[in-house]
Amino acid sequence: MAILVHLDVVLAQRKVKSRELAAHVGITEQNLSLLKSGKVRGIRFATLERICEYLQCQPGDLLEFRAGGDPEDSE
Amino acid sequence: MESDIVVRRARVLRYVLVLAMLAVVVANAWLWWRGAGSYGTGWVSIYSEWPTDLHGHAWVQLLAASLASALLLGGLYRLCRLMRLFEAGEFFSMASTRHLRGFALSLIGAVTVNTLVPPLLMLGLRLAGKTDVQAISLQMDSSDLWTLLVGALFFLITSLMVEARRLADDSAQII
Repeated sequence: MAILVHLDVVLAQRKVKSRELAAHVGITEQNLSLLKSGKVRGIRFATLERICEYLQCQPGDLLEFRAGGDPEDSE
Repeated sequence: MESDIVVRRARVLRYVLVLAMLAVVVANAWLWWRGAGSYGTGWVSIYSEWPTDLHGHAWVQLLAASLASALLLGGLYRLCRLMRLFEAGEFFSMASTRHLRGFALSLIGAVTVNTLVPPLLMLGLRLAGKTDVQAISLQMDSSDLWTLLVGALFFLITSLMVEARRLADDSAQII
């Protein structure tokens, strides 16, 4: 897909466990896992805001656009 | 809560549907027991409405009425199952859509039977030499038309339910 999710990298850098982040954001660990693997159709601003707040990062640290990817791969 | 109201109404409607199904079964059993297309006492009467040319052929009328009733029963059963799913909170599941579609098709089927079976029966009787009817006509009254429209509308609603389901699935994939 054209949008890459680097949530797992940021989590590792911050030494934060998925369970803690999921609890703070208010989503299930399963959904967080889907988000980390990029197997979602989208992310709500509210979710992104909570993640950035907890990890003390910017949206750009979590997401990257890479040209040439096929956006349909995610479906 | 709104869904609680829907669940409560679905339960009441299911009870009404069960009563309606019982009424259809009892009416048919009664007519078969009496061996007539219609039967009346002083205070209650049960009859199946068919062209006057068929009035001399009670068993044929019974058979045709039972066919239409079977379709109606099938539709009511599907509606009962749908109400059960609504009670369980499954408003837009694939099973709900299937049951509503089944009900819509049974309504359309019942009208089709009501419209097509009498002329076909008369044709059959004419070919068998059991009647001297000279003309065969297709008859459809306003209630048939309304039933057909309601059936078609329910069928359309099932398409909307499929679309709603797709949107719900899409929404579930947005974290």
